[in-house]
Amino acid sequence: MQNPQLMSDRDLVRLYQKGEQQAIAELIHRYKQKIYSSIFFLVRKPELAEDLYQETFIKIIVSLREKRYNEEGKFLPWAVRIAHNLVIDHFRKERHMPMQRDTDEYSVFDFMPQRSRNAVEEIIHDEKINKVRQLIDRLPFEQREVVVMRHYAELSFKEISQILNININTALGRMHYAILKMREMIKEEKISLRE
Amino acid sequence: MIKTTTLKDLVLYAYNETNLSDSDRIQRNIDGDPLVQQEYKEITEVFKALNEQMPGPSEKSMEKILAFSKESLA
Repeated sequence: MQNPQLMSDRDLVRLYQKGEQQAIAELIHRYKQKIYSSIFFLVRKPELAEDLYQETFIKIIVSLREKRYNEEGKFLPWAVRIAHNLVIDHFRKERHMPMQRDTDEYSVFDFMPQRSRNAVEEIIHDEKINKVRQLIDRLPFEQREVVVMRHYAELSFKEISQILNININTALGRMHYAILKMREMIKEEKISLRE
Repeated sequence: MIKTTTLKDLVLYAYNETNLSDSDRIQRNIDGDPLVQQEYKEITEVFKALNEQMPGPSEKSMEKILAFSKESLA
């Protein structure tokens, strides 16, 4: 097998369907933050996000194995759609939408990829993460899901409109209002992420 | 802001989702109109804030997924 890091998503999917384990490992690694973020910023609970992330990949693996994946070359939008459906299913099961703000009982930082930092760097980094979370957490759910899909999962507005089954202008409008709101938050609360 | 460029245009432009002619028009508006320039700057400030960090799954989660994959291969 050639270097998986240099291979396209489509080739990795094909290889995995032929039984090459390294191919799925590369796909997991390639999109770990995008897919996880698309879950985490909606559910806002790290343990739940971890569970839904694992469930997302179990569904992906099963679908690939059973050759039910037919969106060649569009792995990420497909994966994010699966993740998003699981998030929505979760809220339906819980019979509540995430309207309440959460507390500081957990930190996104706990689930950041491991990197080597000294103690001071850790603190600065932790503060930055919490500030980003402050921005996103205060958005209404519908705006938050568009921000997460566009900014973190890097889906186009067209792809987002297809996943959410909304008009592209609606998706763009939600992003528009989210940006206005985040801009105000940055101004009013002087949220500065610069060191 | 002049009529030819809206905040939605600027958002699409910032995400590189405009076609060549729209990109050219928007960039000219950014360069030529201080209000549009300010709008665009504020959008990029929001983006910078969002870009600071992206959370990721734990190593344990990824190991579990890979283990599941191996089991399903067997």
